Order: sequence, then C-alpha cells, then structure tokens
Amino acid sequence: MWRRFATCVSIVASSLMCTGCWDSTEIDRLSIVTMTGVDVAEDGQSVLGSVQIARASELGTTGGGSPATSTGSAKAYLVESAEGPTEVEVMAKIRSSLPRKLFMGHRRVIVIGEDYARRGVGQLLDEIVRNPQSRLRTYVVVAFHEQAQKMLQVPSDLNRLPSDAVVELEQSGSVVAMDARRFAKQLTSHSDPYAMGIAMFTNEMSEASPEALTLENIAVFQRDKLVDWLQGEAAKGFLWISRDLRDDSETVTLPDNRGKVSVRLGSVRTSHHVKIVRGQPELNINLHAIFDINQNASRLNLLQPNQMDVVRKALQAKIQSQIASAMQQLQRDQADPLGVSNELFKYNPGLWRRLEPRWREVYAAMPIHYNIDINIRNAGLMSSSL
Amino acid sequence: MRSKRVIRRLGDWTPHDRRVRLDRLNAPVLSDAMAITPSDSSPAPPADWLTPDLDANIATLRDTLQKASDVVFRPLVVLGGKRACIVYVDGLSDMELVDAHVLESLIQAHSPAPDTPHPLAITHVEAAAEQVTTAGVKPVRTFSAAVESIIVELQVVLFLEGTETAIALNAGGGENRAISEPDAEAVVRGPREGFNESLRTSITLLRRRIRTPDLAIETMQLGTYTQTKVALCYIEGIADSEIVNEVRTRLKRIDTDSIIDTGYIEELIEDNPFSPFPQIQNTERPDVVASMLVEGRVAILADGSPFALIAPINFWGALQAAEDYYERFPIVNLIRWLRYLFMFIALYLPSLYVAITTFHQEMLPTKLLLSIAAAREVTPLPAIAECLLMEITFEALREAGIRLPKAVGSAISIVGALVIGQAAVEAGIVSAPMVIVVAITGIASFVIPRYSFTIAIRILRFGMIILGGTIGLFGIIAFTLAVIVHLASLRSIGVPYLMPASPLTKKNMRDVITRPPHWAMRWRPIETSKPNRQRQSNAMAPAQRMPRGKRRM
Repeated sequence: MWRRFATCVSIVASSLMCTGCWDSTEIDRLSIVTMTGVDVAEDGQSVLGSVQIARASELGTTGGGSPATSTGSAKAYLVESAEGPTEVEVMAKIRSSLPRKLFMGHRRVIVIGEDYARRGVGQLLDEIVRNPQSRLRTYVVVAFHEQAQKMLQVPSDLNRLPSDAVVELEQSGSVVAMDARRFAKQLTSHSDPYAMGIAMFTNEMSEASPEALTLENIAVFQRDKLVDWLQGEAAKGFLWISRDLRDDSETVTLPDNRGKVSVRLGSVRTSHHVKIVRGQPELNINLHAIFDINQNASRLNLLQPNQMDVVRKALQAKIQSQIASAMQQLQRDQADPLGVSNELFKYNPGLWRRLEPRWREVYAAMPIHYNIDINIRNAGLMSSSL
Repeated sequence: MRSKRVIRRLGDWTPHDRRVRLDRLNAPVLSDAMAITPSDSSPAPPADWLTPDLDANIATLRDTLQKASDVVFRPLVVLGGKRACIVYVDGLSDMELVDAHVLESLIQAHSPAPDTPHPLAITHVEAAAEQVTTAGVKPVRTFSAAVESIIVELQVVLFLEGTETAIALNAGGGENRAISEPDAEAVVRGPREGFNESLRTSITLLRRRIRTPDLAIETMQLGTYTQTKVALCYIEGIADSEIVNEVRTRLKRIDTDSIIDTGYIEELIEDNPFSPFPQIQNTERPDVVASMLVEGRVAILADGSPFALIAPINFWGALQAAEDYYERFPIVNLIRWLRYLFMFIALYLPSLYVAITTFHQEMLPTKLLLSIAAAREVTPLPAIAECLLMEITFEALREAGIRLPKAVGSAISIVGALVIGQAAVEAGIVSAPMVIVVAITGIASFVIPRYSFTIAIRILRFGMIILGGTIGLFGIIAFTLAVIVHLASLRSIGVPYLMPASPLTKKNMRDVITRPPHWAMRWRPIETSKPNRQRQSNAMAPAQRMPRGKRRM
C-alpha cells in the first residue's frame, strides 16, 4: 500500500516538474490571429499573405486600472505581411518574424484579395480545411476591387478589433453569412460558391479614422475563380433568394404619385425548383415574404384591403425585378451560386448526366419563372394614419 | 507492529469480558500479559464481594479509588441510627437531587421496627431503597460493580452498615452545554435544536421526535479507558436487519482505549477508509437523524459528541440539506439543481480554466480569450502554478479562519481580500481571472450542504488541477472516469454509494434529480428499507385530495 502510494506521489510530483508538457502553451506565448488576408504578390506569381494579430496587452487591464477602451486606434492590433510561394510558406515566414507562436484558432475572417480570387481560391481552401487549428466557421469575404492587405489595416470606430466589426456585420442578417465550411461545401458540390464583398468607404465625420469597412456587393465565383460582382439591385435580388436574409426593410414608391410606404421584413421563405418542360429544365423561383408596415408616408388607408393591395403589388414588383436582375446577371456570367445544378442532379440525375457537358450554356438560356407572394400584416395594430 | 497484534487479540473477547476487567483500570490495558490471560466472567473472587462491615468496605473502596481525588465519600447516619456512607463523583451528580431525595429522606426515615410486619422491605437495604425517592435504584454486591457504578455510570452509591449490598442511585446530572442551534447546519425554516455532548440529552431529543416502541436504542460501552456510551438507534420493522447487524458487528469489533468523538467510530467502521468520500454522514441535527431513521437508516450516537453518525448513506444525499424537506418543493428543486451545478463548479472550474487556457485556447469565445490573454500578459507564472498557488492560499485562509479566535477572525478576511485579492493582481503576480475562478470555486464549495463531502471535492479538485494543467482536458476526463469508477465501487455499510442511480432504482431516482412534494414521496429508499417500503398512502395526491367537481375552482 505504502509503496503504491509513494509511486503515485512521485509520478504526480515529477509531472509537476515537467514544464513543457506536450502541446501546452501559455496564452501569453501566443499571438492570436484574428484576421488573415491573401493577395497576389507584385510579381504576379507568389502569394502575399497578411495576418492581423490582436495585441493582448492593449486590450485589457494590465496590472490594475481600467481596461483600455479606446476604439478606432490602430494600437489594438498589428498587421504583418510576407510573400512566399504558398500560403503555408507565407505563414511560416510571418511566424519566424514574430517572437510568439501564431495561433490561428481564433481567426474569424479571411479576406481574399480580388486579384487572388480571380486567379482561384482552391489552394487556399485546401489549406484552411487541412489546418487543424483553423476554424471552419471563419467568415470568407472578398475585397472589392482592392488588396486584402489594405482591408486588414482599416480600424473600426466601434470595435477594438476590425475583425469583430466584420464578424458582427456578417451576423447582422442582412448580408450572406458565408463561412469557410459553407464555401467549401458549395465548391465541392455542383454549384458555385459566392461570398460577401468587403469594401472601404470614407467616413468624413469620423475623427479617429476616416476609413471604415463595410460589406457590400456579392462576389460570384465560377468554380473557385471569381467571375463577377453582383451589385446594387442585383445583389439585393440575390439576397432575397439566398436564404440568408433575416433583417431587412424596404421602401416602395407607389404608382400614380401616391407616396411611399416602408415595410419591415417579418419572415421570408424561398425555394427554387427545376421543372422539366419538353426535356429542357426550367427554373421556378418561389418567394413568400411577410412584412409589417414600418412607416406609411402615403395617402393610402392601409386598413382598406384594396388599398393594401396597391402596396403589396408594388412591393411584389420591386422584389421580382431585383431577383430578375440578379438572375439575369448570373445567367450572363454562367455562374450558379443558387445551386440549380445540384437540384437537377438530385432530382433528375439522368438528365443531369446528359446536360452536364454543356451545362453552363443550358443554364444561361434557362427560362426562369417567378412566383412572388407578399403578405403584409398588422396594418390594423394602429388606426388609420394621422 | 507489536501493538497491532495485541489489539487484534483483544478484539476476540466479548465486550462483556472487557467490562468485567474494570477493577484493573489502573493496570496497563494493552500489556501483553493482559492480552494473553483474559479474565473470565465466572463468579468473582471472594475478595471482590462486599462485606457487612461498612468501615472495611469503605477502606477497600478508598484504596481502589485513591488516585481519583474527585470521588467524594460522605458518611452519614440513616434509618434512625444506622451508619452509612454515600460515594459519588463530585460535580457529575445532581447535588440538589441527592440532597432532597437521598440524604433528606434517608436521614429522616426511621429504622423499621423488627416486629412491624413490613410488606415489602425485608432487609435494611430494601428499606433504604424504599425511602429513596429517585427513579433508578440498583443493588450492588461487588467492589468492581460499585466502582463501575461510581466511575462509569456516575451513580451515587450508598453503603450501609451491616449489609453486603450497596445501592446505586441514579442521580445523573452535572453540567451540560445547553441545547443550541448547530452552527454548521443552520436552517432558515425548521427546528433549531441540536444535539449536545450528553448522550442522554441527545437520545431525549431523538425520542421526542420518534415516539414508537419500535425505536430501538442499543447501548454499548466502547473504549477501555473512556468507557464511552455509544447508542445504536434504528427503527425495528423499517431498518433492514442485515444492515443493523452489520453495523452492530462493526461496532462490537471496536477495541481501542478511547472514543473521544464519533469521528473515531466513523473511521473505525467505514467501508473504505482510504476513499476521500465520506461513507457515513455526521449531523448535529436530531430532525435529520429522525428523518434518516424513518427511512430505515441507522444512527450512532456517543456520549461526549454532539455529532450523530448516520449510515448507510449515498452520494446524492450530500447535496440535500435538511431544509430541502421543510420548504415548499418548487424552490427546493431549483436550489437543488443549483447545488448540482455548483458541485461541478467546485470540482472542475479551476482545472478547466487551467486546461483550456494552456491547451485548448480555441474553445473560448474570442473576446473572452483576448480578455484572459490581456490579463495574463504580465503574470510571471504558468497558469497551473498560479492556480495551485491561489488554491493553496485559499485553503490556508479557510483553515486560518477556522482556527483563529473570533476576535482576530476579521483580520483574516482583510488580509485575504486585500493582500491576495487586490494586491496580488495589482502587482501583476496573479491574473485577475484566476482570482475570480478561485473565488467562485470557494463559494461553490460552501454551497454543498455536507461539510465532510466538501472535503472530498476539495481534495479531488487538486488532482484535477494537476492533471488539467499537465495533460489538458484529456487528464480531466480521465480523472473523472477514475472518480466515477471509484464511486461506483464504493459502499456504505455494504450499500452501493451511488445507489438510486447505480444500480438504477427508478422509484427512488425522483428524490435525487428533484425533490418531489411530500405527497408524492410514497416509497422509502429501497436500499435501506427492504422490510417496509411504503411510506404513506397515495390518498394525499392532489387528484385524490379534491373531488373532481371542486377542482374547477
């Protein structure tokens, strides 16, 4: 008994003496990467990688005193860049220039430079999926007409780390929340991936930093290569059918100069089906959305069903035109981020096999039918407008 | 090694034999000579018998008790001219009672005239016994019995001239601590009585709650020097006789020189002495003991200790406070779940903190990680060393708080809060999140109602921290599995420690996960009350309580 006890104690005691136990790493020996960016280097061949690292010492209370609350300063993070033939090589180079270990477990955003995206993101995705430290919940965004490296340097006015700002934008419910897992899934299926574009805009009013980041435009890929951007109406139209839209408000201008009505999105259900008509696929897009009245700036009495119909019809027309413009552009680009090919492959594999070699042309010429159903509720919660 | 063997041989004797050896109290008890030649219980040697000569008797007794200076010999004249002497231990007899009921009545009484036909009293002794108005009277015929009565039973012994029989009178009294509310087991709602150090008072408190002839109170004396009275209580007809027999056997096996507290008994009879988990519950509350007895469990009380032992118990009872059954059940359920949660916090929080911050940083939300990273930026020690440092300091603080006199007690809290809490963080020696973790852990360990169980959690916590800090979550899980295996193999008086859960008995699981309302607790725990499982009828359930028509109201 005593021998066994002594053995146990000595094992425990000696394990305490072990300082470098396996992969144990103290937090203060890590440099926590919050955002990375990839670009094509100036030579047009190698990769220019950038990492944004949180400066922990600037982020919290250090030895008493209140925590640093300054936002919008570039002090909370630093950006390191390096060039190399592959993404992994680039990371190794950055690692060697830093005293601490690069910790990718908290990378929340990957920014892909536009040039790099046009060249193809396959090898990047491969690295992300293989890296055990990397989160698949990392959001993927594409820098709109810009280098990713630039995007990493833009501070946020409200968040101490720009990556937090981007994540919050992605989660807002009014953009497509495309993370690495979903991106890779789209890429490995028959459809094409897409991602939000990230852009800088100049905010004249801000004193701390005149530049800020915003998510706008949707990057459309054909396989792993960026082909086009959906902008404005088309981007909105794609959002309607992408199932990502949760939070939105629309303002419709009523015909015959009757004013404007603003509505808030309650819920939206959207689906698309491929229907085979005379051996050729046709696409049906259904959308059922429920809105609440946000503001009635018109002369209509919305308690009257026939007057409410006017609003509904106007809203329906607006949404349909947005979706149609998105679909037209996608057909022109021969990109299929919606997953129409998946649909065909699942429900009509025989036809898919026949069509697959010339699928892109078939898709571009595919007739599309829209079935937009709008419901506006709760007009009666208030009496007629003042 | 040598003394161990002797004790084992002593253990082979029946307790009766041991009690007979009282006359050799002053002889070295554990000497080998004694062990080899056990005295037999056959008729005492002639020298032990009392003689009709009072002076000779008193002289012999004085000789035996010469070292015990607190024994009082009080000569007096009783029954109209007869010489007598009473012997008692000073301060342990109720002197008012002795004065009023023994001395006064004896001195004033007259000797029975030889010619008067006396219906009852035949001898002087019986006459004297008749005059004494105390409750317990017992004839004593040998010196050893007289010594036992005086020293062990704390009786007043009356020796009379001309008889070979003395009378032992119950005049128990002396100073006792008043019945007060136990500090360690306070309740908001519920009885506020606690046991005290007198076995008599404690049994009174118990009997007041359970008034049935089925309440069995078996007394025995343990400890060759202390001769501590130990009472084994159970309810005949509910308690499983196998369990009662087992406890009785284990108690009888005890052979030691002293039983100062029931803690001695606990360690001597528990199933697995090396387990950190207590297999016998201790409580100062008579209501807890009573409720345990009616569940079929067994209680052990001892003179000199306010703590009753309860066995068999299970793991889950550690998280059930007495008040759980006095307050209404909805809030008790929530509080019980809170206790479960905080038991896990008390066991795991520091180790999880260490493991996650040194091995699994990706498990934390980013902002939390950054806050911790910021706090740890300046600290010199690795997380595990920091955690052990803080936990050990906390344990020391707690220990100091118990031992310190009350007047200086507040100093400890100032030192603890200021020096360890604030100064260490400000000096950058300890990170603030670690202080929070240790503080929450400390609070969590006080949420567990049973103190002896908290000790187990505290011990295991250190194992968890070391394993969590050296091999991460894997170590924590491995250690948890080891603890579960240990718990599953642990037994309390032969009853599995995880009883309603493993082996699973669904009827009793309800009182583990929730606290059902009293009308729904129809069954006693199966592990302890095999002979008599049903606690109550089903007629008190709400559906039965109210006629259907009236339920609409």
